[in-house]
Amino acid sequence: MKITKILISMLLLVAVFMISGCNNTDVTKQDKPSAGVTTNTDKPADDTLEIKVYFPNNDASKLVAEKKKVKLKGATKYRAAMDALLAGTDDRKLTTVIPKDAKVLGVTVTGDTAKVDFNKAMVDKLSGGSTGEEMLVGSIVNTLTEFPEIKKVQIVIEGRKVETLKGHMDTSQPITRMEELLK
Amino acid sequence: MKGILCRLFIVVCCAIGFWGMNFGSCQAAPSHKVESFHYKSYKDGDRDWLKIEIGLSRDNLEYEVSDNPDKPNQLLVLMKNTKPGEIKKNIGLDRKIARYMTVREKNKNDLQIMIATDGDLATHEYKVYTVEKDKKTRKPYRLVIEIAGDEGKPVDTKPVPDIPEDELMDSVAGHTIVLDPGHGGTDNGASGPSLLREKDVTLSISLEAARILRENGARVLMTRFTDVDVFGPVATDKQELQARVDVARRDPSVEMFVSVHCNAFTNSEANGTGTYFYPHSSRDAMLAQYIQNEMVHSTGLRDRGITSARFYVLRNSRVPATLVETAFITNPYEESMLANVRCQYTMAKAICRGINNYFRDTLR
Repeated sequence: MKITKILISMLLLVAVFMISGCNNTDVTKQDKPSAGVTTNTDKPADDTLEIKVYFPNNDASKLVAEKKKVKLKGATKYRAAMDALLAGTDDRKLTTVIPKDAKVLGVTVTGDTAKVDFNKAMVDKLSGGSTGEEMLVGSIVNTLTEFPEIKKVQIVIEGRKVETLKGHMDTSQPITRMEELLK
Repeated sequence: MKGILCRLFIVVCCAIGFWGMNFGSCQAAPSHKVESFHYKSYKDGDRDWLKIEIGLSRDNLEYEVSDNPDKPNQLLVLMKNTKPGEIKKNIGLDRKIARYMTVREKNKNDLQIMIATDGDLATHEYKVYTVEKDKKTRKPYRLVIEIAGDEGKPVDTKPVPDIPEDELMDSVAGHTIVLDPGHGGTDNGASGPSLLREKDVTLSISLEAARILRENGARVLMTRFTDVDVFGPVATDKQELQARVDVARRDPSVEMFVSVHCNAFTNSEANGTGTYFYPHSSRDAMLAQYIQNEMVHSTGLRDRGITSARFYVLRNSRVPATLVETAFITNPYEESMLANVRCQYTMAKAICRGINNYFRDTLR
Protein backbone atom coordinates (compact mmCIF):
# COMPACT_ATOMS: atom_id res chain seq x y z
CA MET A 1 0.00 0.00 0.00
CA LYS A 2 2.70 2.40 1.05
CA ILE A 3 4.78 1.54 -2.00
CA THR A 4 1.89 2.31 -4.36
CA LYS A 5 1.32 5.62 -2.63
CA ILE A 6 4.97 6.57 -3.05
CA LEU A 7 4.86 5.46 -6.66
CA ILE A 8 1.79 7.59 -7.33
CA SER A 9 3.44 10.56 -5.62
CA MET A 10 6.56 10.22 -7.75
CA LEU A 11 4.56 9.91 -10.95
CA LEU A 12 2.64 13.04 -10.03
CA LEU A 13 5.83 14.93 -9.33
CA VAL A 14 7.11 14.02 -12.79
CA ALA A 15 3.77 14.94 -14.32
CA VAL A 16 3.75 18.33 -12.62
CA PHE A 17 7.22 19.09 -13.95
CA MET A 18 6.25 18.03 -17.42
CA ILE A 19 3.13 20.15 -17.42
CA SER A 20 4.89 23.23 -16.15
CA GLY A 21 7.66 22.67 -18.71
CA CYS A 22 5.09 22.51 -21.47
CA ASN A 23 3.43 25.66 -20.31
CA ASN A 24 6.69 27.51 -20.44
CA THR A 25 7.46 26.75 -24.05
CA ASP A 26 3.99 26.73 -25.53
CA VAL A 27 2.67 29.89 -23.98
CA THR A 28 3.11 31.96 -27.12
CA LYS A 29 1.27 29.51 -29.28
CA GLN A 30 -1.62 29.03 -26.93
CA ASP A 31 -1.93 32.74 -26.31
CA LYS A 32 -2.82 33.35 -29.89
CA PRO A 33 -6.36 32.16 -30.39
CA SER A 34 -6.94 33.28 -33.91
CA ALA A 35 -10.69 33.36 -34.11
CA GLY A 36 -11.46 30.01 -35.57
CA VAL A 37 -8.22 29.49 -37.44
CA THR A 38 -6.64 26.15 -37.06
CA THR A 39 -3.90 24.28 -38.78
CA ASN A 40 -5.30 20.92 -37.68
CA THR A 41 -5.80 18.81 -40.72
CA ASP A 42 -7.06 15.72 -38.95
CA LYS A 43 -10.47 17.02 -37.90
CA PRO A 44 -12.43 18.03 -40.97
CA ALA A 45 -15.69 19.20 -39.45
CA ASP A 46 -18.72 20.26 -41.46
CA ASP A 47 -18.02 23.97 -41.04
CA THR A 48 -14.31 23.73 -41.89
CA LEU A 49 -13.17 25.39 -45.06
CA GLU A 50 -9.85 25.46 -46.83
CA ILE A 51 -8.98 28.96 -48.02
CA LYS A 52 -6.00 30.72 -49.52
CA VAL A 53 -4.55 33.58 -47.53
CA TYR A 54 -1.91 35.86 -49.04
CA PHE A 55 1.26 36.98 -47.26
CA PRO A 56 4.23 38.91 -48.68
CA ASN A 57 7.59 37.16 -48.87
CA ASN A 58 10.37 38.54 -46.68
CA ASP A 59 11.85 40.87 -49.27
CA ALA A 60 8.37 42.10 -50.20
CA SER A 61 8.77 41.29 -53.88
CA LYS A 62 5.49 39.36 -54.13
CA LEU A 63 2.53 37.88 -52.32
CA VAL A 64 2.45 34.14 -51.72
CA ALA A 65 -0.71 32.12 -51.06
CA GLU A 66 -0.79 30.00 -47.93
CA LYS A 67 -3.51 27.39 -47.57
CA LYS A 68 -5.27 27.54 -44.25
CA LYS A 69 -8.12 25.52 -42.79
CA VAL A 70 -10.56 27.76 -41.02
CA LYS A 71 -13.50 26.89 -38.83
CA LEU A 72 -16.43 29.09 -39.52
CA LYS A 73 -17.99 28.89 -36.04
CA GLY A 74 -20.97 30.85 -37.22
CA ALA A 75 -18.93 33.58 -38.92
CA THR A 76 -19.06 34.14 -42.65
CA LYS A 77 -16.27 32.68 -44.74
CA TYR A 78 -15.18 36.22 -45.63
CA ARG A 79 -14.79 37.12 -41.98
CA ALA A 80 -12.97 33.87 -41.31
CA ALA A 81 -10.58 34.60 -44.19
CA MET A 82 -9.80 38.05 -42.79
CA ASP A 83 -9.25 36.64 -39.32
CA ALA A 84 -6.90 34.06 -40.80
CA LEU A 85 -4.97 36.86 -42.51
CA LEU A 86 -4.71 38.85 -39.30
CA ALA A 87 -3.60 35.77 -37.38
CA GLY A 88 -0.42 35.91 -39.48
CA THR A 89 1.84 33.22 -40.82
CA ASP A 90 4.33 30.84 -39.22
CA ASP A 91 6.17 30.41 -42.50
CA ARG A 92 9.69 31.79 -42.05
CA LYS A 93 9.87 32.84 -45.68
CA LEU A 94 6.79 35.03 -45.32
CA THR A 95 6.11 38.19 -43.33
CA THR A 96 3.03 39.22 -41.39
CA VAL A 97 2.42 42.82 -42.49
CA ILE A 98 -0.81 43.48 -40.67
CA PRO A 99 -0.02 45.33 -37.42
CA LYS A 100 -0.45 43.23 -34.28
CA ASP A 101 -3.18 45.37 -32.74
CA ALA A 102 -5.25 45.57 -35.92
CA LYS A 103 -8.71 44.02 -35.72
CA VAL A 104 -11.44 43.22 -38.21
CA LEU A 105 -14.61 45.01 -37.18
CA GLY A 106 -16.72 43.45 -39.89
CA VAL A 107 -16.97 42.22 -43.46
CA THR A 108 -20.09 42.89 -45.54
CA VAL A 109 -20.69 41.85 -49.12
CA THR A 110 -22.88 43.80 -51.55
CA GLY A 111 -23.04 42.44 -55.08
CA ASP A 112 -19.47 41.69 -56.13
CA THR A 113 -17.91 44.08 -53.61
CA ALA A 114 -16.70 43.16 -50.14
CA LYS A 115 -16.42 45.97 -47.62
CA VAL A 116 -13.98 45.20 -44.83
CA ASP A 117 -13.82 47.39 -41.76
CA PHE A 118 -10.69 47.58 -39.58
CA ASN A 119 -9.93 49.43 -36.37
CA LYS A 120 -7.58 52.42 -36.35
CA ALA A 121 -4.56 50.37 -35.26
CA MET A 122 -4.41 49.12 -38.84
CA VAL A 123 -3.35 52.61 -39.95
CA ASP A 124 -1.56 53.88 -36.85
CA LYS A 125 0.72 50.89 -36.38
CA LEU A 126 1.61 50.35 -40.04
CA SER A 127 5.28 51.11 -40.68
CA GLY A 128 4.55 52.94 -43.94
CA GLY A 129 6.34 52.99 -47.28
CA SER A 130 4.86 52.28 -50.69
CA THR A 131 5.83 48.64 -50.54
CA GLY A 132 4.50 48.10 -47.01
CA GLU A 133 1.21 49.73 -47.92
CA GLU A 134 0.95 47.91 -51.23
CA MET A 135 1.59 44.51 -49.64
CA LEU A 136 -0.90 45.19 -46.86
CA VAL A 137 -3.67 46.25 -49.22
CA GLY A 138 -2.73 43.50 -51.68
CA SER A 139 -2.92 40.78 -49.04
CA ILE A 140 -6.40 41.92 -47.99
CA VAL A 141 -7.75 42.38 -51.51
CA ASN A 142 -6.26 39.20 -52.94
CA THR A 143 -7.36 37.05 -50.00
CA LEU A 144 -10.97 38.22 -50.38
CA THR A 145 -11.02 38.08 -54.19
CA GLU A 146 -9.91 34.45 -53.88
CA PHE A 147 -13.69 33.86 -53.47
CA PRO A 148 -14.92 33.91 -57.09
CA GLU A 149 -18.03 35.98 -56.26
CA ILE A 150 -15.89 38.84 -54.89
CA LYS A 151 -14.43 41.09 -57.55
CA LYS A 152 -13.63 44.26 -55.58
CA VAL A 153 -12.74 45.18 -52.02
CA GLN A 154 -13.43 48.43 -50.23
CA ILE A 155 -11.26 49.01 -47.17
CA VAL A 156 -12.79 51.19 -44.45
CA ILE A 157 -11.43 52.24 -41.07
CA GLU A 158 -13.93 52.30 -38.19
CA GLY A 159 -16.81 52.60 -40.63
CA ARG A 160 -15.35 55.42 -42.70
CA LYS A 161 -13.88 55.44 -46.17
CA VAL A 162 -10.27 56.63 -46.12
CA GLU A 163 -8.38 58.30 -48.95
CA THR A 164 -5.20 56.50 -48.02
CA LEU A 165 -3.84 54.26 -45.27
CA LYS A 166 -0.33 55.68 -45.07
CA GLY A 167 -0.07 58.45 -47.61
CA HIS A 168 0.51 56.64 -50.88
CA MET A 169 -2.22 54.34 -52.12
CA ASP A 170 -5.67 55.69 -52.93
CA THR A 171 -8.12 53.55 -50.96
CA SER A 172 -11.20 55.74 -51.43
CA GLN A 173 -12.63 53.37 -54.07
CA PRO A 174 -13.07 49.59 -54.12
CA ILE A 175 -9.91 47.88 -55.34
CA THR A 176 -9.84 45.01 -57.80
CA ARG A 177 -7.55 41.99 -57.46
CA MET A 178 -3.89 42.98 -57.55
CA GLU A 179 -2.56 40.28 -59.90
CA GLU A 180 0.71 42.15 -60.38
CA LEU A 181 1.75 41.31 -56.82
CA LEU A 182 1.49 37.57 -57.46
CA LYS A 183 4.18 37.33 -60.12
CA MET B 1 -8.63 7.90 0.23
CA LYS B 2 -8.37 11.12 2.16
CA GLY B 3 -4.80 10.16 3.07
CA ILE B 4 -3.84 9.79 -0.58
CA LEU B 5 -5.37 13.12 -1.52
CA CYS B 6 -3.56 14.78 1.35
CA ARG B 7 -0.26 13.27 0.27
CA LEU B 8 -0.86 14.30 -3.32
CA PHE B 9 -1.49 17.84 -2.18
CA ILE B 10 1.81 17.91 -0.33
CA VAL B 11 3.67 16.50 -3.33
CA VAL B 12 2.14 19.11 -5.62
CA CYS B 13 3.05 21.87 -3.19
CA CYS B 14 6.63 20.59 -3.02
CA ALA B 15 6.82 20.51 -6.80
CA ILE B 16 5.56 24.06 -7.07
CA GLY B 17 8.02 25.07 -4.41
CA PHE B 18 10.91 23.52 -6.34
CA TRP B 19 9.74 25.31 -9.44
CA GLY B 20 9.72 28.61 -7.62
CA MET B 21 13.22 28.01 -6.28
CA ASN B 22 14.48 27.26 -9.75
CA PHE B 23 13.23 30.62 -10.86
CA GLY B 24 14.76 32.29 -7.87
CA SER B 25 18.21 30.87 -8.57
CA CYS B 26 18.24 32.48 -12.05
CA GLN B 27 18.44 35.88 -10.44
CA ALA B 28 22.05 36.82 -9.76
CA ALA B 29 23.64 38.88 -7.01
CA PRO B 30 23.02 42.68 -6.93
CA SER B 31 23.64 44.12 -10.32
CA HIS B 32 24.07 47.52 -11.92
CA LYS B 33 21.05 49.07 -13.51
CA VAL B 34 21.01 51.77 -16.15
CA GLU B 35 19.20 54.74 -14.66
CA SER B 36 19.91 57.54 -17.07
CA PHE B 37 21.29 58.19 -20.52
CA HIS B 38 22.25 61.27 -22.40
CA TYR B 39 24.71 62.51 -24.95
CA LYS B 40 26.02 65.87 -26.08
CA SER B 41 28.36 67.25 -28.68
CA TYR B 42 31.04 69.68 -27.59
CA LYS B 43 34.14 71.34 -28.97
CA ASP B 44 37.60 71.00 -27.48
CA GLY B 45 39.60 73.69 -29.27
CA ASP B 46 38.83 72.93 -32.88
CA ARG B 47 37.99 69.29 -32.29
CA ASP B 48 34.46 67.96 -32.12
CA TRP B 49 33.59 65.39 -29.51
CA LEU B 50 30.55 63.32 -28.74
CA LYS B 51 30.10 62.51 -25.05
CA ILE B 52 27.74 59.72 -24.01
CA GLU B 53 26.97 59.29 -20.31
CA ILE B 54 25.20 56.23 -18.93
CA GLY B 55 24.09 56.69 -15.31
CA LEU B 56 24.16 53.55 -13.13
CA SER B 57 22.59 52.51 -9.85
CA ARG B 58 25.84 51.20 -8.29
CA ASP B 59 29.57 51.89 -8.59
CA ASN B 60 32.47 49.54 -9.43
CA LEU B 61 31.32 48.66 -12.90
CA GLU B 62 33.44 46.16 -14.76
CA TYR B 63 33.52 46.73 -18.48
CA GLU B 64 35.33 45.66 -21.62
CA VAL B 65 35.94 47.83 -24.66
CA SER B 66 36.48 46.22 -28.04
CA ASP B 67 36.01 46.76 -31.73
CA ASN B 68 34.37 44.45 -34.22
CA PRO B 69 36.84 43.20 -36.87
CA ASP B 70 33.97 42.39 -39.25
CA LYS B 71 32.27 45.75 -38.84
CA PRO B 72 34.99 48.42 -38.77
CA ASN B 73 32.55 51.19 -37.83
CA GLN B 74 31.46 49.64 -34.52
CA LEU B 75 32.66 50.35 -31.00
CA LEU B 76 31.58 47.68 -28.50
CA VAL B 77 31.40 48.17 -24.75
CA LEU B 78 30.40 45.19 -22.61
CA MET B 79 29.02 46.29 -19.23
CA LYS B 80 29.30 43.34 -16.85
CA ASN B 81 26.46 42.41 -14.52
CA THR B 82 24.24 45.25 -15.70
CA LYS B 83 20.50 45.42 -16.29
CA PRO B 84 19.09 47.64 -19.02
CA GLY B 85 16.48 49.41 -16.87
CA GLU B 86 14.37 51.72 -18.98
CA ILE B 87 16.99 52.45 -21.65
CA LYS B 88 15.82 52.10 -25.25
CA LYS B 89 17.27 49.36 -27.44
CA ASN B 90 18.08 51.66 -30.33
CA ILE B 91 19.13 55.24 -29.78
CA GLY B 92 19.88 57.75 -32.52
CA LEU B 93 23.03 59.79 -31.90
CA ASP B 94 24.34 63.05 -33.38
CA ARG B 95 24.85 61.50 -36.87
CA LYS B 96 28.07 63.41 -37.40
CA ILE B 97 30.42 61.44 -35.19
CA ALA B 98 28.22 58.46 -34.40
CA ARG B 99 25.01 57.46 -36.05
CA TYR B 100 23.28 55.29 -33.49
CA MET B 101 23.73 53.08 -30.48
CA THR B 102 22.15 49.74 -29.70
CA VAL B 103 21.75 48.13 -26.30
CA ARG B 104 21.48 44.34 -26.02
CA GLU B 105 21.44 41.99 -23.08
CA LYS B 106 24.26 39.49 -23.32
CA ASN B 107 25.49 36.43 -21.38
CA LYS B 108 22.31 36.64 -19.25
CA ASN B 109 23.63 39.34 -16.92
CA ASP B 110 25.68 41.66 -19.09
CA LEU B 111 24.77 44.55 -21.31
CA GLN B 112 26.37 45.03 -24.70
CA ILE B 113 26.51 48.58 -26.05
CA MET B 114 27.26 49.02 -29.74
CA ILE B 115 27.98 52.44 -31.14
CA ALA B 116 27.98 52.81 -34.93
CA THR B 117 30.43 55.55 -35.81
CA ASP B 118 30.31 57.56 -39.00
CA GLY B 119 33.06 55.99 -41.07
CA ASP B 120 35.56 53.53 -39.58
CA LEU B 121 36.18 53.57 -35.86
CA ALA B 122 39.89 53.78 -36.64
CA THR B 123 39.41 57.34 -37.88
CA HIS B 124 38.04 58.39 -34.48
CA GLU B 125 39.86 58.90 -31.21
CA TYR B 126 37.80 57.52 -28.32
CA LYS B 127 37.98 56.97 -24.59
CA VAL B 128 35.83 55.03 -22.15
CA TYR B 129 35.93 55.64 -18.39
CA THR B 130 33.77 55.76 -15.28
CA VAL B 131 33.06 58.79 -13.12
CA GLU B 132 32.14 58.65 -9.44
CA LYS B 133 28.80 59.90 -8.17
CA ASP B 134 28.70 63.68 -7.74
CA LYS B 135 26.45 64.79 -4.92
CA LYS B 136 26.71 68.49 -5.74
CA THR B 137 25.47 68.16 -9.28
CA ARG B 138 23.32 65.16 -8.34
CA LYS B 139 24.93 63.08 -11.06
CA PRO B 140 24.99 59.33 -10.49
CA TYR B 141 27.95 57.02 -10.90
CA ARG B 142 28.30 56.75 -14.64
CA LEU B 143 30.08 55.19 -17.57
CA VAL B 144 31.32 57.79 -20.04
CA ILE B 145 32.13 57.12 -23.69
CA GLU B 146 33.75 59.94 -25.62
CA ILE B 147 34.35 59.80 -29.34
CA ALA B 148 36.17 62.45 -31.34
CA GLY B 149 35.02 63.50 -34.78
CA ASP B 150 38.39 62.74 -36.27
CA GLU B 151 42.05 62.84 -35.47
CA GLY B 152 42.69 66.50 -34.99
CA LYS B 153 40.47 67.63 -37.83
CA PRO B 154 37.07 69.16 -37.07
CA VAL B 155 34.05 67.48 -38.62
CA ASP B 156 32.46 69.33 -41.50
CA THR B 157 29.03 70.23 -40.25
CA LYS B 158 27.63 70.21 -43.76
CA PRO B 159 29.81 68.57 -46.36
CA VAL B 160 28.79 70.48 -49.47
CA PRO B 161 28.91 68.29 -52.54
CA ASP B 162 31.58 69.45 -54.96
CA ILE B 163 30.02 71.53 -57.67
CA PRO B 164 32.34 70.19 -60.41
CA GLU B 165 30.67 66.80 -59.97
CA ASP B 166 27.42 68.28 -61.24
CA GLU B 167 27.19 67.42 -64.85
CA LEU B 168 25.65 69.31 -67.69
CA MET B 169 22.05 68.29 -68.27
CA ASP B 170 21.12 70.12 -71.40
CA SER B 171 17.51 69.03 -71.87
CA VAL B 172 15.83 70.43 -68.76
CA ALA B 173 16.36 74.12 -69.53
CA GLY B 174 13.10 76.03 -69.87
CA HIS B 175 10.96 73.22 -68.42
CA THR B 176 8.87 73.49 -65.26
CA ILE B 177 9.03 70.61 -62.81
CA VAL B 178 7.29 70.04 -59.47
CA LEU B 179 9.33 68.20 -56.85
CA ASP B 180 7.40 66.74 -53.93
CA PRO B 181 9.45 65.74 -50.85
CA GLY B 182 7.28 62.99 -49.32
CA HIS B 183 5.65 63.51 -45.89
CA GLY B 184 6.77 66.38 -43.61
CA GLY B 185 5.66 68.37 -40.57
CA THR B 186 3.35 66.31 -38.36
CA ASP B 187 3.81 63.32 -40.68
CA ASN B 188 7.26 61.77 -40.18
CA GLY B 189 6.69 59.14 -42.82
CA ALA B 190 8.45 55.85 -42.12
CA SER B 191 11.49 55.63 -39.86
CA GLY B 192 14.51 53.35 -39.77
CA PRO B 193 16.12 51.13 -37.12
CA SER B 194 18.35 54.01 -36.01
CA LEU B 195 15.38 56.36 -36.09
CA LEU B 196 16.24 58.19 -39.30
CA ARG B 197 13.04 59.90 -40.46
CA GLU B 198 11.74 59.62 -44.00
CA LYS B 199 10.54 63.23 -44.11
CA ASP B 200 14.08 64.55 -43.47
CA VAL B 201 15.68 62.37 -46.14
CA THR B 202 13.07 63.16 -48.80
CA LEU B 203 13.53 66.88 -48.16
CA SER B 204 17.34 66.73 -48.40
CA ILE B 205 17.25 64.76 -51.65
CA SER B 206 14.56 67.01 -53.17
CA LEU B 207 16.36 70.24 -52.25
CA GLU B 208 19.54 68.89 -53.79
CA ALA B 209 17.68 67.80 -56.95
CA ALA B 210 16.01 71.22 -57.20
CA ARG B 211 19.39 72.91 -57.00
CA ILE B 212 20.85 70.73 -59.77
CA LEU B 213 17.83 71.24 -62.05
CA ARG B 214 17.84 75.00 -61.53
CA GLU B 215 21.55 75.18 -62.26
CA ASN B 216 20.75 73.58 -65.58
CA GLY B 217 18.09 76.14 -66.39
CA ALA B 218 14.89 74.39 -65.28
CA ARG B 219 12.15 76.07 -63.28
CA VAL B 220 11.43 74.04 -60.14
CA LEU B 221 8.41 74.33 -57.86
CA MET B 222 8.52 72.48 -54.57
CA THR B 223 5.53 71.33 -52.52
CA ARG B 224 7.56 72.15 -49.40
CA PHE B 225 10.99 73.65 -48.67
CA THR B 226 11.16 72.91 -44.97
CA ASP B 227 9.81 70.44 -42.45
CA VAL B 228 6.12 71.35 -42.73
CA ASP B 229 2.78 69.86 -43.68
CA VAL B 230 1.86 71.10 -47.15
CA PHE B 231 -1.79 71.75 -46.31
CA GLY B 232 -1.48 72.35 -42.58
CA PRO B 233 -0.86 70.42 -39.38
CA VAL B 234 -4.48 69.33 -38.84
CA ALA B 235 -5.30 68.33 -42.41
CA THR B 236 -6.99 65.12 -43.42
CA ASP B 237 -4.94 62.78 -45.59
CA LYS B 238 -6.95 63.87 -48.60
CA GLN B 239 -6.36 67.58 -47.97
CA GLU B 240 -2.67 66.98 -47.46
CA LEU B 241 -2.21 64.90 -50.62
CA GLN B 242 -4.48 67.14 -52.68
CA ALA B 243 -2.45 70.17 -51.56
CA ARG B 244 0.62 68.53 -53.09
CA VAL B 245 -1.24 67.78 -56.33
CA ASP B 246 -2.54 71.37 -56.41
CA VAL B 247 0.96 72.84 -56.45
CA ALA B 248 1.25 71.31 -59.94
CA ARG B 249 -2.32 72.16 -60.97
CA ARG B 250 -2.12 75.83 -60.05
CA ASP B 251 0.58 76.55 -62.60
CA PRO B 252 -0.27 75.70 -66.23
CA SER B 253 3.38 75.62 -67.25
CA VAL B 254 4.11 72.59 -65.04
CA GLU B 255 5.11 69.60 -67.18
CA MET B 256 6.04 67.00 -64.63
CA PHE B 257 5.44 65.91 -61.01
CA VAL B 258 8.12 63.93 -59.17
CA SER B 259 7.49 62.73 -55.61
CA VAL B 260 10.49 61.56 -53.56
CA HIS B 261 9.99 58.93 -50.84
CA CYS B 262 11.79 56.26 -48.82
CA ASN B 263 10.37 52.77 -48.88
CA ALA B 264 9.47 50.75 -45.79
CA PHE B 265 8.44 47.23 -44.94
CA THR B 266 7.74 45.25 -41.78
CA ASN B 267 10.63 42.91 -42.53
CA SER B 268 14.03 44.64 -42.56
CA GLU B 269 15.25 42.21 -45.25
CA ALA B 270 13.32 44.09 -47.94
CA ASN B 271 15.69 46.23 -50.01
CA GLY B 272 16.21 47.99 -53.30
CA THR B 273 15.07 50.99 -55.26
CA GLY B 274 11.77 51.23 -57.12
CA THR B 275 9.69 53.79 -59.00
CA TYR B 276 5.91 54.04 -59.18
CA PHE B 277 3.56 55.52 -61.78
CA TYR B 278 -0.14 55.62 -62.62
CA PRO B 279 -0.78 54.90 -66.30
CA HIS B 280 -2.63 58.01 -67.48
CA SER B 281 -0.61 57.74 -70.68
CA SER B 282 2.53 55.97 -71.82
CA ARG B 283 4.54 58.96 -70.67
CA ASP B 284 4.06 58.11 -66.99
CA ALA B 285 5.74 54.73 -67.34
CA MET B 286 8.43 56.26 -69.51
CA LEU B 287 9.29 58.91 -66.94
CA ALA B 288 9.34 56.27 -64.19
CA GLN B 289 11.61 54.02 -66.24
CA TYR B 290 14.07 56.81 -67.08
CA ILE B 291 14.44 57.70 -63.40
CA GLN B 292 14.58 54.05 -62.34
CA ASN B 293 17.40 53.33 -64.81
CA GLU B 294 19.50 56.17 -63.43
CA MET B 295 18.75 55.29 -59.79
CA VAL B 296 19.85 51.67 -60.28
CA HIS B 297 22.91 52.72 -62.27
CA SER B 298 24.19 55.28 -59.77
CA THR B 299 23.26 53.70 -56.43
CA GLY B 300 23.97 50.06 -57.25
CA LEU B 301 20.86 49.15 -55.28
CA ARG B 302 18.74 46.17 -56.24
CA ASP B 303 16.39 47.02 -59.12
CA ARG B 304 12.78 46.59 -57.95
CA GLY B 305 11.61 47.91 -61.29
CA ILE B 306 8.78 50.28 -62.10
CA THR B 307 5.32 49.53 -60.74
CA SER B 308 1.91 50.80 -61.71
CA ALA B 309 0.05 51.75 -58.53
CA ARG B 310 -3.04 53.62 -57.43
CA PHE B 311 -1.19 56.29 -55.51
CA TYR B 312 -3.14 59.43 -54.73
CA VAL B 313 -0.62 62.02 -55.92
CA LEU B 314 -0.06 60.06 -59.14
CA ARG B 315 -3.70 59.32 -59.99
CA ASN B 316 -4.75 62.90 -59.45
CA SER B 317 -1.91 64.46 -61.38
CA ARG B 318 -2.69 66.02 -64.77
CA VAL B 319 0.92 65.89 -65.94
CA PRO B 320 3.25 62.89 -66.19
CA ALA B 321 3.93 61.94 -62.59
CA THR B 322 6.12 59.51 -60.76
CA LEU B 323 6.95 58.52 -57.20
CA VAL B 324 10.52 57.44 -56.48
CA GLU B 325 11.01 55.04 -53.59
CA THR B 326 14.73 55.75 -53.26
CA ALA B 327 15.66 52.91 -50.86
CA PHE B 328 14.32 51.03 -47.82
CA ILE B 329 14.67 53.10 -44.68
CA THR B 330 13.70 49.96 -42.71
CA ASN B 331 16.77 48.10 -44.00
CA PRO B 332 19.80 48.96 -41.80
CA TYR B 333 22.26 49.14 -44.70
CA GLU B 334 20.01 51.25 -46.88
CA GLU B 335 19.08 53.45 -43.92
CA SER B 336 22.75 54.33 -43.46
CA MET B 337 22.91 55.15 -47.18
CA LEU B 338 19.88 57.40 -46.91
CA ALA B 339 21.43 59.18 -43.92
CA ASN B 340 24.64 59.86 -45.81
CA VAL B 341 24.87 63.26 -47.49
CA ARG B 342 26.92 61.92 -50.40
CA CYS B 343 24.41 59.16 -51.08
CA GLN B 344 21.59 61.70 -50.93
CA TYR B 345 23.46 63.74 -53.52
CA THR B 346 23.99 60.68 -55.71
CA MET B 347 20.26 59.91 -55.58
CA ALA B 348 19.31 63.53 -56.30
CA LYS B 349 21.61 63.56 -59.30
CA ALA B 350 20.19 60.26 -60.56
CA ILE B 351 16.64 61.62 -60.38
CA CYS B 352 17.72 64.75 -62.29
CA ARG B 353 19.46 62.69 -64.94
CA GLY B 354 16.31 60.60 -65.40
CA ILE B 355 14.24 63.77 -65.80
CA ASN B 356 16.77 65.15 -68.26
CA ASN B 357 16.73 61.95 -70.32
CA TYR B 358 12.94 62.00 -70.40
CA PHE B 359 12.86 65.55 -71.82
CA ARG B 360 15.68 64.72 -74.22
CA ASP B 361 13.91 61.70 -75.71
CA THR B 362 10.25 62.72 -75.61
CA LEU B 363 10.26 66.34 -76.63
CA ARG B 364 12.80 66.48 -79.41
